[in-house]
Amino acid sequence: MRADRDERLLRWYPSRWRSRYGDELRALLEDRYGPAGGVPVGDCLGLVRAGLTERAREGGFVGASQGPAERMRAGSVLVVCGWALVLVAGAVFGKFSDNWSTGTPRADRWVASWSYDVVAVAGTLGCVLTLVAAFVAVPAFARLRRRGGWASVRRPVARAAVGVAAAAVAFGALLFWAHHLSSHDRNGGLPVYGALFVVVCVAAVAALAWSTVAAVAVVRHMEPPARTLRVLAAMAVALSALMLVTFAGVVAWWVSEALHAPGVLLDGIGGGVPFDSRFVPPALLVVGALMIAGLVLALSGTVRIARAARLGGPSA
Amino acid sequence: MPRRPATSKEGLGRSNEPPVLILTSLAGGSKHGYALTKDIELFAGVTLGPGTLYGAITRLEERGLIEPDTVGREERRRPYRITGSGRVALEGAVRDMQRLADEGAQRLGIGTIVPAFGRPR
Repeated sequence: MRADRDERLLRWYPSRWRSRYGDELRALLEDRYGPAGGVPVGDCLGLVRAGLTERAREGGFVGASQGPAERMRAGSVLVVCGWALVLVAGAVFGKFSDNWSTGTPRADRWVASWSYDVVAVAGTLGCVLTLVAAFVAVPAFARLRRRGGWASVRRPVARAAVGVAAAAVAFGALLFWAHHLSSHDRNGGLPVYGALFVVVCVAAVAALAWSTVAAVAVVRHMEPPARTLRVLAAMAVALSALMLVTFAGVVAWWVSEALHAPGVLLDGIGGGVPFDSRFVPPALLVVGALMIAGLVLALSGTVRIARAARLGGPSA
Repeated sequence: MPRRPATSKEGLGRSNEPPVLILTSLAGGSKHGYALTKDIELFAGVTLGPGTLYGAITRLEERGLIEPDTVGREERRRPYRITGSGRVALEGAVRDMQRLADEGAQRLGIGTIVPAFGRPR
């Protein structure tokens, strides 16, 4: 019973920390709470927080325990996680702003049109940059496989592959069906289509989340040469800049439409649920929240990378 | 103008922060985890949770301010002792606290609370 309790709590710590301090911490819990006593909630939460902190430190996300290379790698991972959130936000924004120009007076379109294009270009460049980064990392990934590291990343990579394949098939089927439906059916007239659309969206978000987890696992396990790591970190910084541009574009579009065509915002997806607003539609609030969360991650990653670079970066 | 901030990234932190409490406890002799928490409760009235205690022990050991004591070592209740660097760091923290206490006492007009650390008498 006590062993179960201790193991549950110790699982929050990274394995390297557990092998060094685990026995001592078990002894402390035994001395403090007795062989069968319960650990108070406050101390449990303290152990969870401390365990997560140790994990973050070991990963190079916080503190100075790790060298510049590990911190640079951690910074890049944070940027990738931020990018995943911005991608989801961008997809919601794309769906929300579908056909926005038809509801906007011609004379008032230029700011919205310009900012919409900026969002589209920055998003596309971000996707291209991500693919190029994946391509740059291929040799390091191949080395990881050669030295037997495949086992440590097999599960997340396989899960991501299955998730992406399933989402792609579901999306293809939805697209095929959509071509045989009227505009009315596609926009709420056919409840089954609406339900399938939600399922495909959930599948796409899940696939993106699993892909991000897989990318993080691969980046954390592979050992790229110093030069490759520097290139990947530079790409991560560029990706952060693109996220910033995307966010600025969305805000400019939002403000322009709120001023000149509030009807577009009112009629967008989610309009009236849970509240009706011509200026702050719920869907754009979700987009904004996701983008801000993504930006916070990306900018903290960029700061981590910049600080690691100032320390000399990864040594060759 | 302040001479030096009481808390800095390189420093140990304020008097009630775990690193200072642990180093102060170990300055009186080596102890294992549970003995440390009991001693700290006794002299500072602060109860360190297990997560906080071992987080601080990890950082202090990383910085070379404490080390496992090999004498009388029991595998599961490993005692720690303060190192030379740890003594220097604790001395710096104690001097900072002393300066702050002196300043406070002087402004309150209640004289020096405790004899100044390292000051010629």
